[in-house]
This record gives sequence, structure tokens and C-alpha cells, in this order.
Amino acid sequence: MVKADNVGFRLKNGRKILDGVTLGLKSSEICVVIGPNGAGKSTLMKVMNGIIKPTDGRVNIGDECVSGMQRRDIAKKIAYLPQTTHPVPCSVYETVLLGRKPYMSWYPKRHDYEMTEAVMCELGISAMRDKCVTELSGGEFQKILIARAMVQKADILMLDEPINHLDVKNQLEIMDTAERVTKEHGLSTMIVLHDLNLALRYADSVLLMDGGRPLYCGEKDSLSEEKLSEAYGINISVKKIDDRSVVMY
Amino acid sequence: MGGRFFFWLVMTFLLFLFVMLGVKHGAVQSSWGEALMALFRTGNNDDLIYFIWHLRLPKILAALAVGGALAVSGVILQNILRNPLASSFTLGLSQGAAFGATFSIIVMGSGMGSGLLMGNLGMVAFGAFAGAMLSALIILLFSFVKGMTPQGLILAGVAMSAFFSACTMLLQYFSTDTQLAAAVFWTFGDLGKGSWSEALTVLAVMAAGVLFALRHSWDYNAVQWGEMHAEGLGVEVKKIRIYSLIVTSLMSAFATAYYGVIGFVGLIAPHMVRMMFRHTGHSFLIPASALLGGVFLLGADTLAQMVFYPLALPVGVITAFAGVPMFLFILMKRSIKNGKG
Repeated sequence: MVKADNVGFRLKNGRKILDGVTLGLKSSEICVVIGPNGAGKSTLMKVMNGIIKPTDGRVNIGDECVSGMQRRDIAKKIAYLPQTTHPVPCSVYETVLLGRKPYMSWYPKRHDYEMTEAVMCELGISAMRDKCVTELSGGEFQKILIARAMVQKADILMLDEPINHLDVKNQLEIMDTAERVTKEHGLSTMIVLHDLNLALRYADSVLLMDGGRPLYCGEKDSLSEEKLSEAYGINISVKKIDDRSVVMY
Repeated sequence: MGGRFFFWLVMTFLLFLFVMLGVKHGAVQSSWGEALMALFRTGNNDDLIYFIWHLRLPKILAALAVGGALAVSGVILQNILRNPLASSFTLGLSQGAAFGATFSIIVMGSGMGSGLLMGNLGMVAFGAFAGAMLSALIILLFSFVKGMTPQGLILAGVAMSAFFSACTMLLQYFSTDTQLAAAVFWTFGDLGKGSWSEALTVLAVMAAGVLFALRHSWDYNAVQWGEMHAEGLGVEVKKIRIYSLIVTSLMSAFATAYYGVIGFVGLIAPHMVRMMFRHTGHSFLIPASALLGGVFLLGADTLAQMVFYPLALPVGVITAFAGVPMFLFILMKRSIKNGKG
């Protein structure tokens, strides 16, 4: 399990990007991080992933502090998908196989190929194995990246705005996939989202951030309209429709 | 898979063809039969045996080693700097080497030995090597600057290139006619400058560089996706970038120090492979570019021998004529792509 303990990050000019964030990810659960632009959501993900070293507090994976770990070892524990801009021209199969990078020395071994085949089969993307990823739709492309993350065989999955620029159908498909793999493989998943409705629909727990500080961290059902309104600076109400929380603004 | 097999087959054929043409053609004319007999040290034409074994074969080996080294340097630099126009030539390493050689010839008097224009090849090579490494070191220092982007490094290379060219011109301005001739002669990339030992040295450095690149081929595949993706996949991007810069600098410095400035091979070979195999990863791109770079340079040298026979052109002229259109083509293709995006 990964745990951030009172984590802070400030720039050299003293500006605080993160301040006093404490967060633990549980297995088989999705923690959705929400908040306005510049709230520090992506920075928190990079800090928890060891890409940025915190200036205060610490992040632990089990008993080990992330700051002292090799990148390769972190990648075996955390599969991290940053915001993606452009796909690279290579085949779907090679893209998914790249997820085995933390386990490779010179070349992929038989086990790496078998693992790749198995994950592609599980996500139903085997048919497009020889396609170039630049020819895929946005939804298909995100699915390939999730497959790549799954091939890493890490216990923790971190997705930074995975549904940006996708239409509603593809947004739901990607979130369904993330939810399914989290539950079926017992992963601890952290997702940064902008869509509050999808956040409340898929989250087990929610971290609401504003100005680098956590405004709320806990069960999604206890997240108050006031906290949301305070974070985004607009009036936000949450209604229950058919047993589902719907955010209105 | 079939395409790759066909590629290796064609490359092997071209390699064989250019090696045979390189053995046969030279300042001394011979028939195919005489050349083959001399190649196997049979027959009684001792002069031809000498020419083939001491001039033509080292030159062929040099073409393969230099071409391979420059091509693999190009592949690596284009990856770590995330710019398709990056090569040791565009980063200013070649210009640094040219300055070092010119300094050695004009200031240290290394080019003035025994009436030959290239009197002391060792000293000139050392000067060129030092110049290339100085240029590489400055680029490396820039890479340590916090927040320095790959694009920034390319611009630093362009600035270094202009700086070293200006330094070279300054030295040439104050030189005598003989010194100037020696310095200009050195800057013509020419594979006939070295012997077996130089060719074998560059071959050894090239082989070590290719092994390094192959060891990190999957790191390069990850870096292609961007720094964050690569870090997420367990790649220490900064370390890879610095080690790769050192290795490519060494490969380019050795190649340029002995054989002068040979531009555009690092640009042509990788892009030709990418054009043929659009979706290829680095574990194929690296060896394929090394072979294509070697064969291309050998072919260019053979052409340089044959076009104005008995006059042999410097091979750098041929590679520049082929490379400039390729450079402009890549630039156009990128602009069109950006325009569409």
C-alpha cells in the first residue's frame, strides 16, 4: 500500500504547490482526486510516484520510502500513466509490451510476451495488435495505455486525467475498464479527474484539493456541497437521483 | 517480419557489392580478376596487393565503422533530444572537431611535416578529438542546467556550431597559405586518411557504442513517449540522457578525429530506416541504421572514387549533397504535420 504522510512540495521561490497532504490508497478501491486547475492534483501524483521529491513529509510504499527507491523498483509497484498528448508511431503490441520495461535487461523474455498476450486478451484488444497506435481512436488509445500499465503487474495504478478529450461513451468505457481491473486484480487505484459526476460515480474515496491543500479526504458520500463550492468558487449542489449522486452547478 | 528479412538481404547484397567495388577501384586500375587475386594475396602483382591490403581494405573498414558510428549517434541523439534533426553534425560536435584540427595544424604546426599536407595525423586527430569533446562537454554542461529542455540543447548545439566555425575562420584568417591548405584539406571528410589502426580504433568504439545502445534500446522506446511516461516505466531519464550524450560524443569524436567532417550520415541512415519501417522499435532501428550508415558511406565513397576518375572527391561532399535534401525533406514533413495538427 502507498501512503503519503503530511506531504508538501514548495518551489525554490518558496511558493507552496502541495501542503500537508495525507492520503492512503487501499486495495480494490479507487481514490479519485478532484479540484480546480492548479490545485496540485498532478503534482501530488508525481510526488507519490517518486518523480518529484517532496520538500516536507514522506511517501511510503509498504515500509519503504519512495525517495530512496530506484525508479525501476517503483515501476514494479506503481503503474503510472501521465497525461498523454501524442501517441508514438509503433504497433499496439509493442506499446503494451513496453509495460514490461521494469523487468527487462536487454530484451523482453518469453514470460514478458506471455504476460502481454494475456493482458491484451483480457481487455479484448488482441485483434488490433498489429495496428499502429497513431491510427487508433482516443478511447482505443487510452485502453492500450491501461493495458500497458496492467502489464507492469504493479499493485498500484495511477491515472492522470485518463479521459481528457474523450466523448461520453469512451469516458464511460475507460472508467469501467479502470474499475473492473481495480476490483478484479485487487489494485489500489488513484485517478485524477475533472468530471465531478464521473468522480462520484466511480470513486470509493475522494480527495478534494484546492491551492495545494486537501479540503476533504474520505468517503464520497460524506463530501459536502459546501466543500465543493469552496474549492471551485461556484455554487455546487449534489442531488441523489436513482441512488446515484449527481453534481449540479 | 518479411520486410525486415528483405532489408537485411538487400543490405548484405549492397555491402558485398560496394566492398567488391571498393577493392577494385582506386588510383591504380585493375581488372576484376587481378583485383580478386590480389585480395587473396595470390598472383604476382605486389603493388596491387599492397594497395588493396594497405589502402583500400582499411578504407572500406573505415567507411563501415565511421558510417555505423555516425548513424547510431544520430539514432540516439534524435531519441534523447526528441528532435528528428539532431545529429553530431547539427549539435556542433563536428565543428568542434574541425576547430580542434585547425588549431593543431595552424597553432601547433602539426600539419607541416615532411612536405605533406597532413604531416602529423596523430596530433591533428588529437586536436580534433579534443575539439569534439570540448563541444560535447559544453552541451553536457547545458544538459545539467535545471529546466533545460531537449529543444534548448539543440539550440545550444547550433550556437556552439556557429562559435566553433567562427573560431576556425579566425585561425584560418591569420594562417599562411600552406597552413590554410592543410587545415581546409582536413575539413574535407576523407576516408583515405587513416590506416588499419585508425579504422580498427573507430570500429572498436563503434561496436562499444552499438552495444551500449542495444542494451538501452527499450529505454529509448520508453523515452520516445516522453519523460513522464519513461519515468513511469522505470527509466532513469536524466541518467540515460547523460550517458547517451557521452557515448555519442565519443563515437563522433573518434570518427571525426581520424577522418574529418562527414556530415548528414547520422541524419540519413536513421530516417531511411524509419521511412521503410514506420513502427519499428530501437532494437531494430539501432543495428539497421548502423549497417545502413556503413553501407551508405561506403557507397558514397565508391561514388566519390568513380565520378571524376582519376580524381577522387572527398566523401563528405557526396554525403552533404545527399544529406541536405533529406534535411529539408524532414523539415518540410514536420512543418506540414504541425500545420495539420
